[in-house]
Amino acid sequence: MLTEREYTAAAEQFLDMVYRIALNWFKVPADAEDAAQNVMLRLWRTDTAFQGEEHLRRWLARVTVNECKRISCHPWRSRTVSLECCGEPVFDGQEQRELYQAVMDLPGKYRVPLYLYYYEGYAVDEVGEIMGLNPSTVQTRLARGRAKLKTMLTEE
Amino acid sequence: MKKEYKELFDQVHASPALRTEVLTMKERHTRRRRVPGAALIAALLVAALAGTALAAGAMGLVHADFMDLGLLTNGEHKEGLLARGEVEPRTLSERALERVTGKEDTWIFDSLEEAEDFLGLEIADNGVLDQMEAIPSTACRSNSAETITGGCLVDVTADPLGGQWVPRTLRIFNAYMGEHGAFFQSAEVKAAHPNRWLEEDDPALAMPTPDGGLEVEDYVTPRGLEVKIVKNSYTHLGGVPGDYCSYDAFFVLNNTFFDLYTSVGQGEQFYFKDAELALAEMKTILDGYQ
Repeated sequence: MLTEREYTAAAEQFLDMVYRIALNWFKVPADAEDAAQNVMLRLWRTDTAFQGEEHLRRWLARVTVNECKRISCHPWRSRTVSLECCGEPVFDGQEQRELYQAVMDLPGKYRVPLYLYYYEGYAVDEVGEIMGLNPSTVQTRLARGRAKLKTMLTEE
Repeated sequence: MKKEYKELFDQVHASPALRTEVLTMKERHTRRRRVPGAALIAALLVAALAGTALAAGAMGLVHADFMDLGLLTNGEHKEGLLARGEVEPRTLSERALERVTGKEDTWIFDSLEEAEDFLGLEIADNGVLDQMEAIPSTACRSNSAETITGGCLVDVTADPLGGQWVPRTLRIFNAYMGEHGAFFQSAEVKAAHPNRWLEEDDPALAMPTPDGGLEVEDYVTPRGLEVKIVKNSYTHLGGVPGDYCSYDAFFVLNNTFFDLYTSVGQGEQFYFKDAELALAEMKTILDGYQ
């Protein structure tokens, strides 16, 4: 069980990661925030003894993916209440806005692997472990996601 | 593109409201080891049949047993209730058997009637539900962020046997909008197949005890259908305090394990605002099964 100080440090360090994974899953900021809330509540309540920062980070990534699946699979069982004031991200330039839109327009099965691989820096087998996919599936989704993104950005 | 992608998500942050909510969570949530969470596990578990029947009159085809549910998918250890139905395998149509081509799949139909016709099964005959508006159900394909929507969704599991995929279970979901709220019907069958030799586990649903407690009511309809109505109560959901509950009515009819479900709370995502009204309407629907 984390101490209060450990929990606060973990929340400050990893909340954005948890939120971004959920946002890539749901696309809707409100749903992503609901999932992120649930994940952080689990972190607060977990008995897991973390073997260092990387262990905690991967635990959070895996629990976030599992929480997104749980909410998605049976949405009528969603138990969260949306927070107010969570709009779309705001970007500095038109190019970034277009890139964000292109990323969010990708099929859902590509968005989270792309985020875990390119932003969080996980290896293919690590992405597979987090998402419950075998590495070849992850490789395929990364390749197809990259190709689709390139096509969408070229066509604009 | 990798550089642009990273720079893009460098600018994506959780909102200040979420940050505040998360950082103050420790002040609002006490902790103790093995505290039941608010997660509801809507997946099948293989039941260890040891356990104590909950209510007098637990004889019959549906059981509700309190037990140690073991390790859940999120790694937490939970106690709670296992609702289980004793059913015999049911024979599917040839075209349904031919459509099974993998370990798991979700089939989409426009309506329960279309699903019944395709599967070669009669699932439910309910004059009360027939008068209600059918509304779409949503689910996701396994290991995917894709959601699918249809009038009736059928989750199929299968095993490889003798060089072909042999269906094991089918779970049929559909939903209805009543006068004051929505109900969801899950109907699970075990598939009979000439090649099947594996022992079948009964369909079951595990419900970890929520923070507000769990109650079971034995209800018998005027037509003699025995039902276990389970009420899950929550004092907090998603970190927000309030009065929330859900009702699951479990019963067996035509060798099918049913879960009729609704939820109660003040947010828009709940289907009733009043628990007594939800329970009353649920019993009206239960009375309609034949």
